[in-house]
Amino acid sequence: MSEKYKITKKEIEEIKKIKGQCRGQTIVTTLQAVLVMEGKEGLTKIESRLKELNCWPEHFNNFDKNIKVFEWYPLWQDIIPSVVVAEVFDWGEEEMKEFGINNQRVSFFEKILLKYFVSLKLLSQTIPERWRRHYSVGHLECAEVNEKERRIVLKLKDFPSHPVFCQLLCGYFQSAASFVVGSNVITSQETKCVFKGDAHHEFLITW
Amino acid sequence: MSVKNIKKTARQGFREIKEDLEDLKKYIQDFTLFLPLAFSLISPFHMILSVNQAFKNLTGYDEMEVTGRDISFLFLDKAKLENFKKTIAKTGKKISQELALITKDKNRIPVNVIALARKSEEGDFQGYFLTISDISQSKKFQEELERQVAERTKELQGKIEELEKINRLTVGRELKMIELKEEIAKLKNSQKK
Repeated sequence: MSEKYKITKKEIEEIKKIKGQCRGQTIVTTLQAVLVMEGKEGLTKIESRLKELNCWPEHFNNFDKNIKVFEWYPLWQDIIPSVVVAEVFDWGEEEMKEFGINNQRVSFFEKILLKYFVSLKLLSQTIPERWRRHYSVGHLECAEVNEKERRIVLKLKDFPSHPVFCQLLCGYFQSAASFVVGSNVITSQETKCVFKGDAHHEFLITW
Repeated sequence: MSVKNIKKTARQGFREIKEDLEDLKKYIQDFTLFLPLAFSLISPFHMILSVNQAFKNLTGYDEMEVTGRDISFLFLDKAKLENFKKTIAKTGKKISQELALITKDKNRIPVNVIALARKSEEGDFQGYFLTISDISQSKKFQEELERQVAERTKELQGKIEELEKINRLTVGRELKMIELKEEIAKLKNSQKK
């Protein structure tokens, strides 16, 4: 990502055109993660900027009450706030990854999906289903699980978003994996990216 | 029933299920917020998934400071805790253990920790609920009670010894008086003769 990134109107229009939906939970975790990392002041800044861009729907006010976590919303309502977060706070890849980690940790879904944290094997088998609980588009699968070499490779196809969103997802997957690998020393990186010409996104998690 | 009606019924059903899920979510959140007992949800690998307000009040840690961390860092007695962790994973029953909690301010608080394992229908261990109760007041009360009991016991023992001493003296005097009376009677008898 270049310095002082600024989202353009054209980008907003493109994102709003993307077909697909996200669960209310994904929007709630984005805004909650902002609160965790930047406090109420930070959330106010995001709100201002999103209002400037005409991307602050009514239900974003008192979001923890008004956004229904099990309801479906247009996909842009999850992607655009995340992109604006990177713009407003001038976050690079590492900060966006940290943001993704916090997204995973505040998520109510992740707590009630406890049954998937039983083992690496179960986690890898249930990843597509977990993705579908969050998004109506895209297909996430576990391409490789190697406990001996301590690595997992995740493949995400057909999920049109934004380059900023990739690092958020990277952090999110890293955090989710940390609960089943039994190690706090865990890293992640995006090894393939659609925005760099690859056919799909690929994320490598090692510990 | 026509296809249109079936679809309508299904949509309504989905709507009702989603509303019920939202209500359930709110119930869980309100309940854990209300619960005055420090409560946390732990993964099968002993990592903290979530905590309630009472937990934050007791430990001083914010939720995000503890989420994703192994519970070990919270307690002083590592060996006891490791044993506790092994037991909870094996048993399906509720288990409890007295431990020393280390708060964020590095204070040590005696606590009683109770865990209840969660299992799937197939019997797979899915983590556990963990509650932590501050027992420092009841421990203080217990110690004070034991101290008072020891003090009173000592007092009582002293009093008993005193009483025994008085008793020995009294009995001794009584016996002596009986002896003297018998002697007087003998003397009187011999004088009469």
